[in-house]
Amino acid sequence: MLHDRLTKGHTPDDRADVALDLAWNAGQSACDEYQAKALLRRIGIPTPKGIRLSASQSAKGALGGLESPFALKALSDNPIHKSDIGAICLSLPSEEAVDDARAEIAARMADAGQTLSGFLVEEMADSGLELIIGGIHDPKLGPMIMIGAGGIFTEVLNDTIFGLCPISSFDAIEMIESLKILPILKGARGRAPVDLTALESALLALGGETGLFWQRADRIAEFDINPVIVNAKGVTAVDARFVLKAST
Amino acid sequence: MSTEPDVALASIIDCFRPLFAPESIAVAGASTQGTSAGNRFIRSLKTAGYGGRIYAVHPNAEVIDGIPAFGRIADIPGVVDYAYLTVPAERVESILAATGGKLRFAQVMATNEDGSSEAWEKTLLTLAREMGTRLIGPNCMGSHSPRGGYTFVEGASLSRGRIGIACQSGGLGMDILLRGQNLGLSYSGLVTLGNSIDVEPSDLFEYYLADPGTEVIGMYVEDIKDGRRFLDLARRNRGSKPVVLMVGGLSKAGQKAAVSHTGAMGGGRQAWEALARQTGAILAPNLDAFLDALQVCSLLRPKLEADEPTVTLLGNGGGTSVLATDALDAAGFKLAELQSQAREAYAEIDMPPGASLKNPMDVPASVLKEEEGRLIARLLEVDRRFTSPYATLVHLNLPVLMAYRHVKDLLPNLVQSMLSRVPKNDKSPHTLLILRSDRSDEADDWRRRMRTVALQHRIPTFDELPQAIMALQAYRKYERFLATRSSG
Repeated sequence: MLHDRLTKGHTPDDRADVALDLAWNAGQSACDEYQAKALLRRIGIPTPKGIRLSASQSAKGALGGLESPFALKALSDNPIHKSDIGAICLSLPSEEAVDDARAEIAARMADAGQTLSGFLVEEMADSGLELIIGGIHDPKLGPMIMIGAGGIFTEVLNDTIFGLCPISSFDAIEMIESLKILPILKGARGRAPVDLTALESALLALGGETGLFWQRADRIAEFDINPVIVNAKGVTAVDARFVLKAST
Repeated sequence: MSTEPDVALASIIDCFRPLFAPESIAVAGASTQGTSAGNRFIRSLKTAGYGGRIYAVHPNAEVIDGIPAFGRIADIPGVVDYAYLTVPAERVESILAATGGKLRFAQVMATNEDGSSEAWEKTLLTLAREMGTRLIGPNCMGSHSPRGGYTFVEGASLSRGRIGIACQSGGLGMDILLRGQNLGLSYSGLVTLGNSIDVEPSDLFEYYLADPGTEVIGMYVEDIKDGRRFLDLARRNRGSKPVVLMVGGLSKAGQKAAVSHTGAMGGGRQAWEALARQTGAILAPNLDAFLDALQVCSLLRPKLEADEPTVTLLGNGGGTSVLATDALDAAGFKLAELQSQAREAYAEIDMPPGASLKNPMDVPASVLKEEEGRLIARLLEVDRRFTSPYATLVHLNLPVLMAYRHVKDLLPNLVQSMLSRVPKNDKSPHTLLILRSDRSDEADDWRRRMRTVALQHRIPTFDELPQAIMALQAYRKYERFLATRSSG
């Protein structure tokens, strides 16, 4: 039983706030994906290995340490839906392919009227089930955290559940166990069960008593981590954005 | 143990005593002609036998409806605990300004309709704070306190109950009082809060949590200003008093467009559902479900040991029990399986053919009529002893039973024998009685009489099976909260 494996929430690393403050002080309306992922890593949520390129920087010789194939994503200070505007290219086999894709994405960003602040090149994430973890403020009841079936069909599937912050370990488990896709997470039809404890820890690291969102709800207006890939080895935040409150 | 919580409890109870047990009431808005809302309130105070002092507030009259009238509350001798103000909006300020600081609670019914309501409400609040008065409303209908011996609704019973209500709608407050009363509910207090510019749902929530006379709390909320305090109170309660909530304004309309997926998926409904899940509160989607939930919460005792929510369904009406079986399944219940002991015991009962003694137990009127209606007691005894389900739902189709007019006292015997066998302990099944009527006056009348008897035995009653199942489902969630979380 999942209930038997209660775990404590992560205490966010003090440095987690650095990336947040950086974006806040620069007056950005959102953390770009690179900043968002720095935040997540520091509260113990893994992300794919990646490197930031400036808007005009070539990938050639710059991807040392990353293994192909690569994912290439546009970075922006505004919250953007990357897949909607084609600001993302996956499974690029080489540095050359990354550079070709850079040009295409830059053009699409310009078409969409979005400012490009750089690129994020990442290793492709392991496969697994796609979930979403997010957070918003209810105007009456305050910060709340969500988990659900993720990916681009999140809204269509509508298999999500919310918890009012701060959530307890019990709340986190109950939220996960309320999902319609729970049997799949638990390994329906001969699949390997996913690491539910890692999922629970991720929820607590964001929405628990010491969680990042609950602690910094004064600055974070809303956030999506979508998808979070979850498999037998753990969770990986593949895409993330934190929308900031207006810094007035 | 620290003594702090006790001090806090005492203070909230002291704070609201003038409202729930006023020693003096002032009424503004009664006329010398005796026809306005204020006059009606004065009459209802007299009818109810209100034991405290009553005063009228009127610019020039000396006596109204036989009670002394004063121009200003400040002129009334002694402290005034509660003022019922039904004067038009433009007169409220002058009354609040002339209390001489000795008015404890003012309930303001008026609404400002000239478009300056925000400024008006701000003025009222400032005045109330300066004068040391707690203000209820504006835009509400009154309060109901059996302990205080007064009510705002003519015809409302002042029998003391154990359900405390806070309601941000006057009209719904009346419904809760009157329809609830016909369902057998009685209240420890009911306050309509209107726009809640000073006294808020959370204040009454805190009061009812502390009040030893309140065992179940029901609230209708529309616009809650201090949501986090409300949440904290619900969290601290941990389900120790059942809380039933009806929340208005949850539709997506008017919600601001969200930037994130999460924002697009979430809203007020998700937030309140989370509150209910995390605090053990019951969220009722409509008035009838709200009243039914209050009913089960006040009559049933939690069965925390029941891991499996098994149900015995017994009554007359084959199609009805088939549909109810489906509804039970959809609500997460399962029919209890009859063990051989139960089957043998049923077989030993002498009865005419026609009954299907499997679960659901379809027992037609032609069988129920046996022993002048007392056979049901033996069936239920077997159910309790050998099947021992989580709940037993007994449904009676009254018009069909009424047709057996030659059987003396069939319906009274049915209900009496059914109830007399109930030895109440924690292991007994929750017993719910569904009294189905064809809406004829005769059947409705029987239903009312049988309901009264059932309530004396703490058996909740319902008009139809789906309502009973919905209420039981809500109660089951509450029980599971207690079983899994109240100590954690």
